Order: sequence, then structure tokens, then C-alpha cells
Amino acid sequence: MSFKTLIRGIVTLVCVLVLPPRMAGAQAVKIVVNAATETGDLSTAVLTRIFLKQDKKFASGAAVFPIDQSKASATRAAFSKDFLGRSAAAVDQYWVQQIFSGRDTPPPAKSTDDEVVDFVRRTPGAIGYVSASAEIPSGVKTVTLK
Amino acid sequence: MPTRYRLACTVAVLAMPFVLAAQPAADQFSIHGSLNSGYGRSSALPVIGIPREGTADYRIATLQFRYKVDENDQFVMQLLNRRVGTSPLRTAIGDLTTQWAYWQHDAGAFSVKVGRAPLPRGLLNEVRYIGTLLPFFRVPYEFTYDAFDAVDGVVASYRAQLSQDWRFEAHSFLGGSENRNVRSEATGLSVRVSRANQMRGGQLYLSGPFGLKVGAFGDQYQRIDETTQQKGSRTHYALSGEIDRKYVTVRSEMMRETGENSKSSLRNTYVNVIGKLTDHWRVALEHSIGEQGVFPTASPSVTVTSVKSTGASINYLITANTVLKFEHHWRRGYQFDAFVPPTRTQSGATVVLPNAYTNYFIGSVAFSF
Repeated sequence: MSFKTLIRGIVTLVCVLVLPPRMAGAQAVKIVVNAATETGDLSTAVLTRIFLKQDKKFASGAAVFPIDQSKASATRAAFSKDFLGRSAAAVDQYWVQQIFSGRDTPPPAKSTDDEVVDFVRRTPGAIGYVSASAEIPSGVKTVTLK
Repeated sequence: MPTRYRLACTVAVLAMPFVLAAQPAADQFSIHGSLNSGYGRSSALPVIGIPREGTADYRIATLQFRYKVDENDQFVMQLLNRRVGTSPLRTAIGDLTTQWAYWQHDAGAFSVKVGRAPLPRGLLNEVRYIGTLLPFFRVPYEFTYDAFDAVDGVVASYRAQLSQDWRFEAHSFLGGSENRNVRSEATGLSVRVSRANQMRGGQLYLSGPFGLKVGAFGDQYQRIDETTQQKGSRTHYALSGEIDRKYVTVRSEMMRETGENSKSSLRNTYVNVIGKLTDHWRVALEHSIGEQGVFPTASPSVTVTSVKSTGASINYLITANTVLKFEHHWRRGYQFDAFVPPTRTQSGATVVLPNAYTNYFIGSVAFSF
């Protein structure tokens, strides 16, 4: 093992240990948007508000259409924990509160990564999330959060 | 209801079929529902519909239909089924009622609801029947009574993200509402059913970091008692505060009602503390206090502590949408389903009598989808 490899390994280990869980877990999920969408500087806080339907527009002013994954999805559990900062159950409770206070309903949900990607590709302003291993076709781009 | 409110509601209802007919069905139609069903038993006096013999005729169910006409317009109807055990209110509550029926239009940060819409009042008024959101079977009865669960008229709302951490909501409303109440007075219980007309008011919320949420509410209305046709003007104001953290939620609200004369006065306060032990187990404590002006034959009026209630509950969340609860409450005061005289006149002076006491439990299941 070379010195450089050792240093790289140590730095990687330290990063994994000291980074907040949200950042560390973020690797499990990719955020995808329609290729024509100008997202601006998208932060985790803004993304959270979009998926809780508190923000209904991107910074550019374009309407945003979040798309969720089904409740049984492991990707959804990872996304809820890593990006929304709460468990999938807590997100479910948030939506029950919204529904029965007459405020809003949750974003539509798709069953697979492919369905999410297909919806995002066909819908200007759509934003979704897929597992890190999902193929990203043309017409869809991934977003790096600030 | 004044003519202008009636006209607004009529226009909204008449316009609905034409708007709906122009849209494809697709997946814009959604159905949601909830069930809150329990068995309760009191140790002595009957209270909030729970007798000493016990009752399983204790249930709240809702069924909500929502049709999204487009991104900015939706029609919502929510039906409500309630069984209130042996409460004197059972004669005043329909088995199945229309809790909401409204059209909602969104325009950016603004939205408007027209019809029979949820009344934004405090932290839990709109979800008072949804057991999966509550640590106990109900929101403290002394805070909501069986009143003001909806407004017939117009609700206009504005929401703004002030900064990354701070969020602001303002709601204003015009219209009417209903009030069903068992009220303990000097000489007996009275079941009061009244209409609140020309109701106008608003609710403000400010949400911040660390799960902080504070609110302020105020309204005024003209009251007409449906039995006596007695009229009067009433005013409410309420303050709310909540801190919602990962492992604990602390919530408190106070409400004040003043009436057409100095003898009609209510003050109610409660505190909730909810411990979220794991994803499945929660425990909660609650304390509420109610004070009301009573109407003795001798003047002046006397304000007595009508209720002091302490409750403890344990919740098991099978999922976020299915919750089992067991709760026990210790209650002291005058507000029961059987008459407990709060005062008597003795040598020309009004004397406050000792409090009555009872305790009761409720085992319940809450479900929502």
C-alpha cells in the first residue's frame, strides 16, 4: 500500500465519520429533474420544502412537480431520512396532517426508479429521486445539491 | 347567514358541475379516511359520553373525497360519522354529517376556500377528529368543545417562507359556524345548540427552527341560540405554542371567550407533552384547566374552575397510520354529563361548592389512509 493510498483511505474514513448522516446517506439516492429545468442553486433545505410542497416553484420561477416513490420503497426510506431529515413514518404523519387539515395531498408516487425517470423525462418542472444505481437516460439530469 | 355569504356559497356550488365536467378523471381523484374507535369507562360520574357502565358506542370516522380539477383548483368533501356514547349531546349530533364541502383555489402564496371549510383555529382544530395525529382520543374537550369545527363561508390564506428557517401563515375567514355544547350552570345542565353568524376572524402562525410553532387567533360573531332564540355577540381569542423535536413534542394552547355580558366568560388552557420513545412507542401527558362564569340567581356572577383534568396515555404505532392507545384521565370540577351544582346561595351570598371527582379510561384504535 503506497503512502498516497493510505492518506486517501484515512481522509475518506475521516470524511465518512465526521460528515453528518444526511450527507453520508445522500450517496444512496440521486436527485433527478427534467433536462430542460433550470434548478438554480438547489439546497437540501429547498429540496425538503419542495417535497413537502411548501415551495411550489424553483428559484427560476418555474413550477415544480415533485414525484415520490411508493411507501414500501427502500429508496424512499433513504430519501426521507437523508434529505427530508425525518423517518418515512414521520413523513407519512406530516401528510396525514396536511390531508386532514384540508391543506394539500402528497406528491404522486411511482413504484420503480424507471417509472420516476420516465415521469421526470416527460414532465417539465418534474423532480424526483432514484437509487444511486439507476440509469439516467437523456432528457433527465441529476442535480447536485449545494 | 347574511345574504352576501349565502350568495358566495351558492355561486361556488352552482359553478362546480361546469368546472368538473370539463376535466378528465385520471388520477386527480383521491379518497382518504380515518377511524377513531374506542371503549371507555368512568369510575363514577358520566363524562364526555363515557358512563360508569362503560361504552363502546364511541367512534369518529371521516371519509374525504378530493378532486383536483387542475393544479390550482380542487373540490373537497369530507363526511363525518360520530357516536358519542351516552353524552347529552347525542341528540344534537347527526350520525352522518358533511363536515366539509368546499372549492379551493390556489394562486401562488394565496389560496381561498369557499363553502364549508376547515376552520383554522389553534394547532389541532382542523384535525381534531383524526386519531392517528393525536396522543389521546381527542383534543382536550375543554379547548374545542363540540363547536367551531368548520366555517360556512370563505377562508383566505397566505403563506410565505421568510427565511430558510422561518415560515409565516395567515388565514382570515368570514361566515358562520355551529356550536353544540353541554354547559354546567347554576341550577342544571343545558344542551345548547347555536349558530354563529357574521363570524369574522383570523389565525396567524409562525414556524421556526427547532420545530417551533406559535399562533394567535381571534374572532367575533353573532350568536343565536336555536332553542331560546337568544342573541348576543361573542369574542374568542387564543394563543398557541409548540416545540416539536425528534424525541419530544411540547404543546400548549389557551383560549378565552367573552360574551354579550360580563357573566358569560370562558377561559381554557391545556398542556401536552409527548415522548417519542421509539418509532413505535409514545407516551403522553396532558393537563387542562377550564374556568367559566356561572349564572347564579344572586348577582354578581361567579367564575369557577369548571374542570381540572390530567391524562396519561401510551400509544403503540403499528404503522404511522394505525395506532393503538390506552389512556387514563383524572377529572375534577363541575363539567360532567350529570349535573353537579357548582354554587349555592347561602345567607344571600354565593358559595362555591367542593369539586366533584371522577376518573375514566379509553382504549382505542386509530386508523387513517
